[in-house]
Parts: sequence; structure tokens; C-alpha cells
Amino acid sequence: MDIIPQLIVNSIIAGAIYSMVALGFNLIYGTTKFFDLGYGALAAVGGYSVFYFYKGLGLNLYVAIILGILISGAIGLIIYRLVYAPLRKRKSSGMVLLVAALGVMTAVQSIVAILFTSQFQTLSRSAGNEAVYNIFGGVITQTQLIILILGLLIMAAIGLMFRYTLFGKAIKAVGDDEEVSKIVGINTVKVIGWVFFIGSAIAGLAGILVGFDTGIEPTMGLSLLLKGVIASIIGGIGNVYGGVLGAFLLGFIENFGIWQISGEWKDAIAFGVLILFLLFRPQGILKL
Amino acid sequence: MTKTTKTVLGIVGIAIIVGIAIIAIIIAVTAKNSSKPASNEKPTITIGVTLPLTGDVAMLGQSAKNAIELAQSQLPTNLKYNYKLVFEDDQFKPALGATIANKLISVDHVDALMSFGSPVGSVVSPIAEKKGAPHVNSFASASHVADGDYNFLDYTPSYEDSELFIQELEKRGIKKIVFFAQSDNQGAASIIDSFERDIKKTDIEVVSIQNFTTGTRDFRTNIDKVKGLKPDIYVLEATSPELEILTRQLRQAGINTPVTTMEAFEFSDQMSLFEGMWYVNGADATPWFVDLYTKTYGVSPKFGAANDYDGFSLLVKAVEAAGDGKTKPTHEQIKDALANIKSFDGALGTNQTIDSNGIVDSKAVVRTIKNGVPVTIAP
Repeated sequence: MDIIPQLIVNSIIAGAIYSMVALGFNLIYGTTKFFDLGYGALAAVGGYSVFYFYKGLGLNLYVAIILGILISGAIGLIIYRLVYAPLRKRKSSGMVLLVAALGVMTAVQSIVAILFTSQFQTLSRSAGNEAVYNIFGGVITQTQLIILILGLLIMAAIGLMFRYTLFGKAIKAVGDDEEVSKIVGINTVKVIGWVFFIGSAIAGLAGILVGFDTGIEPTMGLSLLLKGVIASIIGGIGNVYGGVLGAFLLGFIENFGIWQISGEWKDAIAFGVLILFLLFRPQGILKL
Repeated sequence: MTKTTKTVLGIVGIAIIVGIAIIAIIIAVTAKNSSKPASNEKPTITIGVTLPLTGDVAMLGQSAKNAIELAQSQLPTNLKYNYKLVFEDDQFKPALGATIANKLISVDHVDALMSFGSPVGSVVSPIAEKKGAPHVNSFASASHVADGDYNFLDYTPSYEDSELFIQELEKRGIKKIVFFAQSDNQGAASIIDSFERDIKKTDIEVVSIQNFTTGTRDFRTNIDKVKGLKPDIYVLEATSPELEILTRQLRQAGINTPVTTMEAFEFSDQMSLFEGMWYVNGADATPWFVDLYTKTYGVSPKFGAANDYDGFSLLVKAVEAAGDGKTKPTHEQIKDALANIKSFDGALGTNQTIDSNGIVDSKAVVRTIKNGVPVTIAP
């Protein structure tokens, strides 16, 4: 039973990574009702931006991280303006938007692979030598602790934004009914643009932190996105708090699920849980 | 402009375009025919090579390409044929390897094929066999890559690795091991199969085998499951980047037990992670090859480069034996000539032989990582 504390810590670490992805994804989905598959690729954009500025150009780490986050946000906004906004204006179907988003993800991944090659890279200069902390018998690294704290802070910030700012209320209004929001004078194009910027910036940050924890590769966004989507569906698609809850639940299910069986089953367990929720509780644990 | 004028001009325009196209076709066909060698010109043998030139093992693929090109540059001038190489990048992905193999055989009409590694070799091998194209793989642990009449393997087989590995475990007094295995990698699976057969003859206990799939990035729970078993050594059978991530996560979990492998360390470009660790690897390159490669490219050859040098040399030897110098030998003739090669000298040593399964006989070695560089310590 000595393993239980570490299993709990492992589950929390995994949940923290998934929650960061789910946060941005749910912010976008909750506002636009659009399954943005291209979102995952922005994690790679963030990671590779830091790789370029920090390891390539030798810039200060914090400057590189800020640039990485801003670039991810900016590219997310540009993609929205150039691809998704025109399609939405044309009242394109959900399938068209989904295919467009798939195209965006493939294109962004390919561009990253051409610029940086598809070789796996690490962002950390001291890979394997970072500080490690013992929490109630479980071991967690400094990077993993940062992921956990930042994820919770971002969730809190988004919650406060929704509750206490006009902008947050505008986002909720657009999410509830875009047409009525326009009628009451909300600039929905601007609001949605900002939502894409913020959501993409969060994706970029997730990619950066995963890059420090394990590493980066051009296709890293797809697996992160899938786990973020599963977490969102489990927790309540479009619900920012639900996504976080679903992420931690997924982390626990995966790690405890493979406790007594082979690790090869991890993905099968995750997708199995997704199917169960889609069949029996499609609205998730917390409704939108 | 009247409608009639427009119509006439349109027809004239189309006629001009069609005429240009016909002339272009005639020129192309004439040029193709005129590229047939004159009676005193040597025919050209085309060898298609699929390598991971980009991706996680690009450093090995690039080294392989260098070695093959080096072998080509060393060919004597008095051969019966000219030799042309066509390189394609498979990124170490089986699906790409299959597409490339089909293209090289059916579109480029290569006279022979070379491939790299077990994942790609495993898909190229049946294609080469079905289409009757001689195929040499120079980096596959999975000996089934040599199955069939048209497939040959110039790499230390997994059973050689396994035999030496177990001898070394026994020599070092190791009694309990834990295996981490990338179960969907053909090379790793072949090595583990050989190992599981051979280990039963000893009193070494495999206390746990932790299987994982390619793409796994979080090994923490797998590690926690075996931490309490306190093995004497961890055996890691994985390719990059899973190998490096797993090793770092072992250390993060506070495990300082030695790690070892059969061949995997030299897939990594972060060998300092394995500093001081011993492992078993395929046959060593000869000093003359290492010198030649280093002088030519300014860096030492990577693991497997000597095998690729020899793989190309074997094909040339077979073609020269099979052909009359006037016309190109058929695929079948090249295949038969390869199978008839009994002994040859190459970058891996003198008097190398090919067994009845089409596998070049070469022995494994024990190495360690010293100052970030592999060094052979036995035999």
C-alpha cells in the first residue's frame, strides 16, 4: 500500500496537465459551441516558440515563456479571423467547421515539423536534475508543481473574470445566445476574438509546461487535445469548472486503472470512460 | 470582335497548345531513348534506399546515408556497372516505409532495395518478397525481416544479443531484473522474445515486465508499480524519446538502480543519461571504417553505419557476379547471387558469412557509455 500516495500524486499531476488543456478548450467551446480541433496544435506552437527563443536565441527564460504564450494567443486569434470567423459568418455547418479545424491542426503541425524537424526536444537545460519534493509520501517535481499551481490559478482567474468583469459577462452572454448578444450591443466578433486569444494562450502555456516536464514534438498537441476533450466531456462540455473536475477525475481513473494491469491499457481505459459518459451521461458531471 | 472570330481564334489557340504538347512528348520520348547507353557505356544499376532522414532517429538515418554514399565513393572504376542511389525519407514509420517501397519498386523501377530498422524492414520485407525485388536491411533486430528468398539482413540478430546479454548478467551476479518494453516496436519485441526464451535456462528472475506503447510520455505509475520489487537492474527496451523520458522519470522517482539494454542506448542523442551503464550492442565497426568515415565526414559513424556500408557493398558484389556488364541482371539473378555469397570482407570485419536464412553472421559486443560516448569493453 506504500504505492497509494504516489499513485495519488501521479493522478494529480496528470490531472493538472489535462485541466490546463481543458480550460482553454472549454472556454472556446462554451462561447462558440465549436469543437476547435486546431486548438491542440497551439500547444506545440507555444512549446516550440520557447524552444526557439530560449534554447535557440538564448533569451531569458521568462521572456521566452511570455513570448511563447503571446505568440500562441496571436496565432489562435489569426486562425479565428482568417478561417473560423468567415465560415461562421457564412453559417457553415458544424461538420464544415470541424473539418476546417482539422485542416488547421494538420497544417500547423506540418509547419512546425518543417521549421524545427520532427525530432523530440526538451525545453529544460537541466533535464533530470530539477528539484523534487516529497508530499505525503509522493514525489513531485518542481515543473509538475508549477503545472498544478498555474492550472488552479488560471481556473480561479477565469472564474473571477466571469463573475466580476463586464467582459466575463459578455463571454457568458455570447455563449448563451450569440444573436441576442448582438442585439443588446455586444461586439460578439471582438469578444470571440479575445476568447480565442485567451484560450490559445492557455494552450500555448500547457505546451510550454509539458515541454519542460517531458518534451516537445510537432504532434504533441493531438494527444493533449484528446485528453482535454475527454476531460471536458466527463466534466461537462463547455463548463470551465467541469473541465477541471473531469481532468482530475481522468487522471485518477487512468493511474488507478493501470495499477494492477499493464500500462498499455491506459488509453483504452480513458476512451472507454469517454464512451460510457457519452452513452449514459453526455452532459457530463456538471452541466453547462 | 465577332463571335465567329472568337471561335476561330479559340480553335487556333487549342491547336497551338495541342501541337506544343505533341512536340514536347516527341522530344521526351526521343531523349529517353537516347539515354540508353551506347554500346560502350556501362548500364546503371539503381538502388532504392529508405532511411529515417528526419524524425527521432534521424541521426542514425543520416549516418547510414553517409555510410552508403561512402561505400559508393569507394567503388573501383573497373566494375561492370554504374551504381545510382535513390534515397527516400521514411521517418522510421512503417506506413511511410510501405509507401516508399511500393514507389521505389513500381514507379522508380529500382534494381534493389535497402531499408533500415525493424519497424520499416518488417513492412518492406513482404512487399519486396511479393514483388520479387532484392532487399537488404542493415539495422533490424527482428530476424523475420530476412524471411523469404528476396530478403537479406546485415545486422546482429536478436538471439546473439540475448545470449551475450544473459552471460553478462550472470557474470555480474544479477539475480532480479525488471523489464520496461516498448511492446509495439518490432525490434524490441524480437529482442524480448529471444531473451524470454534464453533466460529460462538460468536462475535469473524477471520480477516484472512493464509493457507500454509508442507515444507513452507518463511512466510514473509503471515505475511506482515496480519500485518496491527492488530489482538489481532495470532493462529498458525502447526507442527515442520514450527511452530518455523513462530514464529521467526513473531518476525523478528516486531510483538510482543501474539501467541497461540490448541496443537501445545508441538510439539516443542524449547518451550522457546513461553514463557508466553497460549494455549489449550489435557488432563493432572495424577501425579502418571508423577512420575512413571520420576523415570523410569529420564525425565518427553512428551505430549501424558499418552495417549499411556492408549492405551496399553486398548488393554491388551480387550485381557484379550476376550480370554480364552489357545488360542489367534481373531481380532474380541478383537475389540468387546474394544468396550465393559465402564469405566477404567489409566494414564489420573479414570473412563474414551469410547463413541459409539470408542473415549475415555477426556477434554482439558489450559496451559502456564513457564521457557520453560508447566504448566496447567485451569481448
